[in-house]
Amino acid sequence: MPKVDPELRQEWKDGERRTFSLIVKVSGDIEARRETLEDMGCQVKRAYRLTNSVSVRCSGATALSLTRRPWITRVERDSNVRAFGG
Amino acid sequence: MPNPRKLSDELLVSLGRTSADSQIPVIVRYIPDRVVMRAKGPTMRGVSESYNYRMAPLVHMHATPEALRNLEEDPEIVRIYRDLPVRALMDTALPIVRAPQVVDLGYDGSGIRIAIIDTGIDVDHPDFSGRVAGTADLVGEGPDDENGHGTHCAGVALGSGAASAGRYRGIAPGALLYSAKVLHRSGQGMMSDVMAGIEWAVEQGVHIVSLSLGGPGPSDGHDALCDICDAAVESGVVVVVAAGNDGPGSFTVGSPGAARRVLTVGASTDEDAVAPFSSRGPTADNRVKPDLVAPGLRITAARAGETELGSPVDPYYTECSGTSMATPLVAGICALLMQKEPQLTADQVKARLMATAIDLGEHPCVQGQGRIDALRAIHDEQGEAPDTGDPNDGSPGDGTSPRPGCLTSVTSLFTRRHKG
Repeated sequence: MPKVDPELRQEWKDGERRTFSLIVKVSGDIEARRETLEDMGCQVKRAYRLTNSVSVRCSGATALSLTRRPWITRVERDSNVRAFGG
Repeated sequence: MPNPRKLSDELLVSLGRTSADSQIPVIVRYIPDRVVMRAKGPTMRGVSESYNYRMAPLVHMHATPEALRNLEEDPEIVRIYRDLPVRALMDTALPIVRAPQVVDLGYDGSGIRIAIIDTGIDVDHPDFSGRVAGTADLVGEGPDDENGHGTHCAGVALGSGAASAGRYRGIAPGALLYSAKVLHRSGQGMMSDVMAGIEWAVEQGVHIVSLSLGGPGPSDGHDALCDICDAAVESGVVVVVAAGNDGPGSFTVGSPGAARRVLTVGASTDEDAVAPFSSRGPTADNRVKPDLVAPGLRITAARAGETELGSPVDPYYTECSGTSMATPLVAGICALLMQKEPQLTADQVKARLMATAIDLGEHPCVQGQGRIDALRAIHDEQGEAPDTGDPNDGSPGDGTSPRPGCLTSVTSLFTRRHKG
């Protein structure tokens, strides 16, 4: 499985200054990775211990740089969900 | 000739079955501001008014077929509906899945903790009195339910029916309720907030997580939301997820319904057919989903205060449809089973419910293993193996294995049906 969906990567390239909401899966200590992500320019929303992942907001340019870090194993869009009844 | 634009479908059916001197109960919608004049009293032969609604231009009345034809010609009348009996959760859905028989055995979910990850709950609803063990607001709107969806789901799973003298009781009224608000009042939200709600619920030590939400299909079950659902199961929590309402097309199960280890629930009708709107498998990577189906059509359960979701029955209850309603029903049955057999693992609970489901004769990517049956699950009655319906593979799908024949089979199934 690729680290990032090619379509999403293209969106980052097309909008390097746009802000994206992403979920980043990391290896290693989650708190240390969280701090590193903040240092890289990400606004960290939450960290998830169950899956060792972090939800962030960052620019397209920052997102592109994330994928070059070996301890980042996957980056995906923070997608919309909806209720299934009414 | 009846005017189909004014008479509801149900009323047209009733008209054909009613004698000339019998009266049909109807609800008449007038153009705005005209209903006040109507309230002065009926003047038309064959009509007797019984109630004038104050919040909408509606009048409840009884009318003979001839009177209805005259009412149709009234330019101040917009629409005439047949007054229909409402269906109670206790009256229809619970007996279908044989939950009352399990309650009679002494199981009501006591000692089991259920998390509803949704739009929040109405903590003041009498049906949850004394059983709200924890709430979390992960969207910054406060824990109250301003949509109504979460409260309804909670009512289906574990409502006591206190505000209806037990009529609209849920499946496991002894269970404790944990509510994580992850969807906004609009009923929409972000995957990251749902993930936080699931993690919060696991940290609270819940036994069951119920998720009546998701994204569009298809999903291959490899996204972050599916991952955290599977991780919750790995930690010992039963995760029950709605398949979605994007049926009847195939490949309509999204995330997190496509997660491998969750129990994915489609919706069935009171007639034990799979609801047309219920999302169908296979998943994007050609696995069978849903895992089973449960009643999800016109379910009456708790209504959050000052909300208008579904078709309100009274201030405390409303009627809703969707795989959202089928899901907490299954979560409630999980609670009954886990009360009886607390040693079961999350995977074993899922396997038991699937293995004891009633085969509805549909393809596995439509019905899963069939419609849930609480009594068979409690007694572990696996006698008659459900038909998997897959000509390529005789083994039951458990959501973890690719099913190469699924795509072909489902496509041909729908093609056949479309051709009639």
